[in-house]
Amino acid sequence: MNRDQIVKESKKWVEAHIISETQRDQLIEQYPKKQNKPVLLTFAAIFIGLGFLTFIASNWSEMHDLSRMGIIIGSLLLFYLGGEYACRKHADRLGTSLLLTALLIFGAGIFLTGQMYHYTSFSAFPFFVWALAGGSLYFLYQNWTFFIATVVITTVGQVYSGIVFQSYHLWLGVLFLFGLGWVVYKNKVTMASLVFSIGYIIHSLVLVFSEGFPYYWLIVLFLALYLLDDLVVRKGQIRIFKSSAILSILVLNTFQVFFLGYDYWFDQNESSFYFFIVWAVLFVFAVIRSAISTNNYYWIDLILFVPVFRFGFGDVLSLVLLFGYALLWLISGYQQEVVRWVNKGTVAFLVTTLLAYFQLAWDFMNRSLFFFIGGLLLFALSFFLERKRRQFHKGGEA
Amino acid sequence: MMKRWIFYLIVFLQILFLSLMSISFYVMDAMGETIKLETAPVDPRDPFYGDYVALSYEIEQIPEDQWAVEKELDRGERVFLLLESNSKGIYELVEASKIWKEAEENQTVLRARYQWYDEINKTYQVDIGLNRYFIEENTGEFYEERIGESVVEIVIAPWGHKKIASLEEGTE
Repeated sequence: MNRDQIVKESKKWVEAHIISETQRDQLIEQYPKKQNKPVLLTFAAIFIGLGFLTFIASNWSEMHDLSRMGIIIGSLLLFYLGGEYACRKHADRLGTSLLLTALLIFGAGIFLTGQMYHYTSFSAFPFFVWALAGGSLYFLYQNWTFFIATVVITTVGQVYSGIVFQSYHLWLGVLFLFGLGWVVYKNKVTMASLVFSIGYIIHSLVLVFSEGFPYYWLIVLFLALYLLDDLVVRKGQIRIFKSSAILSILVLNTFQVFFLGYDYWFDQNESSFYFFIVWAVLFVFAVIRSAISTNNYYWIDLILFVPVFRFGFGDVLSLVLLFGYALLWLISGYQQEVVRWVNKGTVAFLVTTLLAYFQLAWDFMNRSLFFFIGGLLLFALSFFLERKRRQFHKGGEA
Repeated sequence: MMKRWIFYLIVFLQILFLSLMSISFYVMDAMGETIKLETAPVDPRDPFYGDYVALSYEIEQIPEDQWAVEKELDRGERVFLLLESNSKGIYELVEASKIWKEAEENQTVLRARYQWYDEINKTYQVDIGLNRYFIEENTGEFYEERIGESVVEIVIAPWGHKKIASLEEGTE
């Protein structure tokens, strides 16, 4: 029923003395007038905006430097003031999008000005200034849009720094970890944790690979993320940090399965003394944490964080770790009758089996036989695991 | 109300940042020191790319006897070039080091970034960050003839920012 129908129908009900006039008004009030969305107006605004944009873009090269600056600064002001005004008048969505546009204009303005005056940049400093602007907007308006924007700016800036300058931009890192990290810690919102942890993983990759650290420092960085989880989670929330750390370390172990067999990677693992100190501190901390936690099974996760790169057969050991992780979750899941753990263990076990198969059989068998046998193997495995799972579910319900 | 003023402050700072980028460029002409450098031929041979010319400078290729840096450098590390003006008023390299040397009369110091070591010519390559000169369209041919033996006027601001003021033909 929509409002118009109610208005029509209720008129008859009043006439038939089913309801009174006041009741009719109350009924109608239950169906608020729909806001007529001004679709045409929105399109008109977009078109006019695009018109301006293309006009400026096509005349950009003929313009004098100062008039270009005027356009950049003018449009920056316009969008900022418009956004602020709209937010004050509680047109939040409009205000946010205007402010976000202004923030983007500021970023573009830095690069355009730099190009105009032949600035050569030697670092990702422009991104840092840009991220500061985004961060201040978040702190003023406490709006998650600006938080996400700032995470994106810092992360993209960091990737840019890694690719173009082969270095990790320290200030961007500090801003990301302590500024944005503090926001995540304060609010304990799942969405923010998710965005932050994706950013964290990308930052870690840039740090390790652009600065030429050996890859195994990632183990420490992921373990840190795993441990930080306690700080950003409320009771009953999904443990985002922990899950993303586990996922990352699983992928890392997968790479180890394939690459630790090569001498190049093995030779990189010479001076790992400092790594072991840092790792030991974090690991002991993690063990203690899992020991005092109410749930006595989380030590299983820690298996994945054991470094195996110092051994000549590190690739095999990585496989052992993965299998251990999968089997232990499977077994504990069956014992404790926790469906989630069983599912986790099952998926991990299947994937690991596939990895092991790829690793061991690819070189010896011809291709078609390889896929054929692999398929059969997976078939048998899934059949067996599924049967076991069903028994378990039945047993659990009985 | 407080919040509004903070907001205005943030917007003002952003505008200030952009304006300073712009203003410093114009102020340099008044405050900066102008020096002349000789260009070196560039690889690739065709230095002309539509709207800018690729430049490289004599002082960017540093022979070993003028390289006063003790340790191995990473790419992108900062080095200081001590330059001295010769009889023609063109600045030439005295030495490259990790330390900011006090410049005497007719000397100046230029910041540069280390690039790589050229095994064949036994030279250290650095980058002074002025390898693009934007030119008006359709003037490429004029420059194409002359790049590699021309003189570039650059302006160095007291705060370390540099820009190309002009490009002229060599005096040879």
